[in-house]
Amino acid sequence: MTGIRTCRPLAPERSFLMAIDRHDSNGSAVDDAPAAGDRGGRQAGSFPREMTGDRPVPDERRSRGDLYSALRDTDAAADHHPPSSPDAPRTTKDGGWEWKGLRLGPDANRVADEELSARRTAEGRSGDGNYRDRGITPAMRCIEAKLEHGTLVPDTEKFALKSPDRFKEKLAKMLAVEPDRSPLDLSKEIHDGIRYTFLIGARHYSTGVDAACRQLGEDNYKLMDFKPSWAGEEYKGINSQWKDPVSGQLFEIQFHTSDSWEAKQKTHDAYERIASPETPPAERTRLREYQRSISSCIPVPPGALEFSPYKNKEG
Amino acid sequence: MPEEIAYYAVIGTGRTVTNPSGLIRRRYTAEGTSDESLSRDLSWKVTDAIYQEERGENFGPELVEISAGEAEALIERFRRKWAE
Repeated sequence: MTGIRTCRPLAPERSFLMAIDRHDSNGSAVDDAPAAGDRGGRQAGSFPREMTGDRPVPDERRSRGDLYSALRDTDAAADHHPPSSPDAPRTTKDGGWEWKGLRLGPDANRVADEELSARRTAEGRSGDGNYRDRGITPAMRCIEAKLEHGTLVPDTEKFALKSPDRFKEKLAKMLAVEPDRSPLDLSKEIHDGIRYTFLIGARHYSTGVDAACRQLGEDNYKLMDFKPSWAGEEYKGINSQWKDPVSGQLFEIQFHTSDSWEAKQKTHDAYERIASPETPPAERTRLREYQRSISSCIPVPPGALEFSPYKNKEG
Repeated sequence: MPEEIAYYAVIGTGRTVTNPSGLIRRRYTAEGTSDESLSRDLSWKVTDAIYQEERGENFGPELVEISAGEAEALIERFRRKWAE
């Protein structure tokens, strides 16, 4: 038998802990496009003009900030549909939930609401929408302040929590793939109900990721999963899962350069359409080729290919 | 030309290839690939799980390719289990 994971390229074998412990040995002949968080960076628009499916994709002329807002608007689109729209998520008469052909039964929907509530508490926002000194988001700001390189993306607080409908969409998809497991078990594995992104300038990317992970560990956050994708054809960056020692909740941290973050935003519409069950196979094939063309333009920061995947099997 | 189909056992947390938590198939058609997951009502529904794994961004369950015969036996096992 062949696991599908063997089909994708992996970074060279190297322990994650080695990556954590190593010092900066990066070469100097590097175009260090600073991350947005480094108070600089190139404007969007450096990627080639391509066709995505049946629709042309115009040259991107929006600023990174506008791109970022557009991405987040898409992410939160479920909450922006007028309730009367046939495309809007809806609660069914029996207490279930439906959207885009996905469904949660009443029990699963109740589980989702309870899990959402737990994540809101762990994230740290109080009922009035303000933060105090507890919670994961204030802690991430403290960690950010200690880092020499890298910052959290703009509007981190606004988007730290996955929207309720996106959370339920994810749970419905997980249940469809693993119908032999319970909604409660699966909902506890949704690691990006709370999520953060650090932008780190390319020159300091690898040492910046090391430093952030080290600081997270020193603050008792437990690394659960670490997935470097810099060798990937369709997505570049590092995604990681962490466990909050106080609440026990999982949360996600992504590490990007300004270029990989920009590419992620530029391809987000294509990503959504590829993932949609309504997209025909031929269009999906074209969209994936488009993603590859965008991704191939992202400069790989020095040392980024040396990170290895890590999975904490103890839970 | 007969349609080619690949089957994948879904290995969720705490599961093994002999006790998977779901089943996915990839159909290779003239138009491209089409991926579907087996539902509790034993119908096949479109899924993006294989794409998500290939893309590499998300953390999903492990997918292990199995033979058509193994997939058939797994469907029968799920049919009996989910009918209880």
